[in-house]
Amino acid sequence: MAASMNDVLNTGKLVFERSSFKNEKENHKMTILNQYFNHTVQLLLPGTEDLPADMDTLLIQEASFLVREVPLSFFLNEEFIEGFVKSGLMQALSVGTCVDNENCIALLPTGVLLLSVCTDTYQDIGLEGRPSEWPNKHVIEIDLTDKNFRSGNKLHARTKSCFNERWTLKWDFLVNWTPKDPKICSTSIQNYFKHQNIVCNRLKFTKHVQKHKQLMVPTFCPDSFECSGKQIMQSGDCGERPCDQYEVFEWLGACALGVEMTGNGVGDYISNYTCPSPNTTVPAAVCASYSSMFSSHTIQLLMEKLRDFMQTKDQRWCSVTVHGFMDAPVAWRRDHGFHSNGDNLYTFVLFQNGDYWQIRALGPQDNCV
Amino acid sequence: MDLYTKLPQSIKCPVSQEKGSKKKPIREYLTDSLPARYTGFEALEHKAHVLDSVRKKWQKPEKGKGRNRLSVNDRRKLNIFELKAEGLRFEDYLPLHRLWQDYMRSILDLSRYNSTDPNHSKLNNERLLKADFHGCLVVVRKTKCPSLLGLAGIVLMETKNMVKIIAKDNKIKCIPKASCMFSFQLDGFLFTIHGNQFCVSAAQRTKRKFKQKATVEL
Repeated sequence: MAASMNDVLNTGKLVFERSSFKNEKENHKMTILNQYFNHTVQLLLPGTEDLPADMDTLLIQEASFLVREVPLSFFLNEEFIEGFVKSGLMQALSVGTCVDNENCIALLPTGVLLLSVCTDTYQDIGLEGRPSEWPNKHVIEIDLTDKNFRSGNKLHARTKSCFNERWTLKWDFLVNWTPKDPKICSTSIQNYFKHQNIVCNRLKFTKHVQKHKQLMVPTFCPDSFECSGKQIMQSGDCGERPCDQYEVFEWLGACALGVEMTGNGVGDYISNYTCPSPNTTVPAAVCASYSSMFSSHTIQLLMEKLRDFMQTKDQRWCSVTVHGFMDAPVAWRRDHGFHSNGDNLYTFVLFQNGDYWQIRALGPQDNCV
Repeated sequence: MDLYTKLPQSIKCPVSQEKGSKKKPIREYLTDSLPARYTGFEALEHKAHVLDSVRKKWQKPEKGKGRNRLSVNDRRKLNIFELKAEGLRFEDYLPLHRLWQDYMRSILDLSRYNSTDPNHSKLNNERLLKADFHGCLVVVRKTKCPSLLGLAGIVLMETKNMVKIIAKDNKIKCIPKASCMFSFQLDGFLFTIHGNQFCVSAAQRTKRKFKQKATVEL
């Protein structure tokens, strides 16, 4: 007697894409570069003993800062806009604000200051905006890089008076800046904040590396995915029916969480999850997780390093998962909400021949193109 | 015998003396009794028209005679609801504003707000509901439409759904009541009017009983 599943709430979506890096359209760049606020990067390299040093340094040296007590009028500063917003990729995200019922502020690398405000605040401040895709919120977008947006312009005057008189709250932000000119150091943003007497500290990153010996790894190949109208193909080196994308994705998540998969399976008290079969055993594998605020530019560089690594080391496959912030007001250029969860993560599984699998997991209040 | 003598000259009918107007009374009578659709009785030359049951043409009552109100057409002709779009100055209406302030002070006893008795402020609020706000300097505090926020000026006209104000830059602004929350100040007290509860014309407000609505949300 099973209950009917008519009014089940949507708890999220899984979007699967299979393509190649050599494809002219370069869809992988769309996914990476349009996801601005990245929180965690998790790498899984089966068959390698140590994490490559260049990837490690790239992620450790990410220059993200935590700034405290910044009023919104700061973003309208002429020298800030000319010196940082227009001459690089400047991004900022408000910390400690819940996107579903509080006001969230984000400065996107495209130069747009995005305010995701509750209805009460929207009726109080007087800036034009549009209703958000998700209930009870409005989104106000101010293009700071617009050549008309400077003193003398009506919109600029109204925004300035709003931020200086009506809405003078101060926020904590996570800030990241990638300058266009490679000679300029990205930490010069810290000097600017200190010059304005704003507390600015380097964001502490956390790094967690787990090295495995004799790890059981599922067997799959670039074509072994299931979708409507397509059966899983049995290609020569895969043997019997290989693992499909859902089993692989679940296994990758279990690895990242550090789930014990060495047990019997059935009969174990805590968890009876085992590696999906068919599987092989690799002598060594490394699983690394980095948490900070990463810009999409850094992730793009990481992806290129991973591709070179795949070529040189003759790896079968490797994977990288990037998690976005749960309380970010945008994900992949669309409004992001938090209903029962605020997932907006993507996983790339890279194969030797340049093919990749791209799996995106989204929460219920998310629409991605 | 005297029975058959002629009438004396003095009491003879005066009409017969005006020989020129003999035909005119008949003409006038006929024109009056014709229905409105006939313009003259040339059209009736070949038609027979019964003079018996004829409806009298409706005569417009003259102003001041029996009807105390103006009809909508009269109002439109007199331009009661029109304000000049340009040419009005904010400074000209400051005396009106002061007049209104005195009027407000006289109908509201502002010291009642300082007392702890809740009935006192209730009395004041009832008076506020029925008050006239022409000449009041209002500011839009909260609004569904962001471009209206912050507008301030002296109320020139108040209709059922709109408030027309003159701002400091001498521009007339029309603000819909339903989407706004207004506030004005008097002697250090700040009053707030929720526009969506106030969508009644000023004349009706004196008679109407206001019901308490569930929320004050816009």
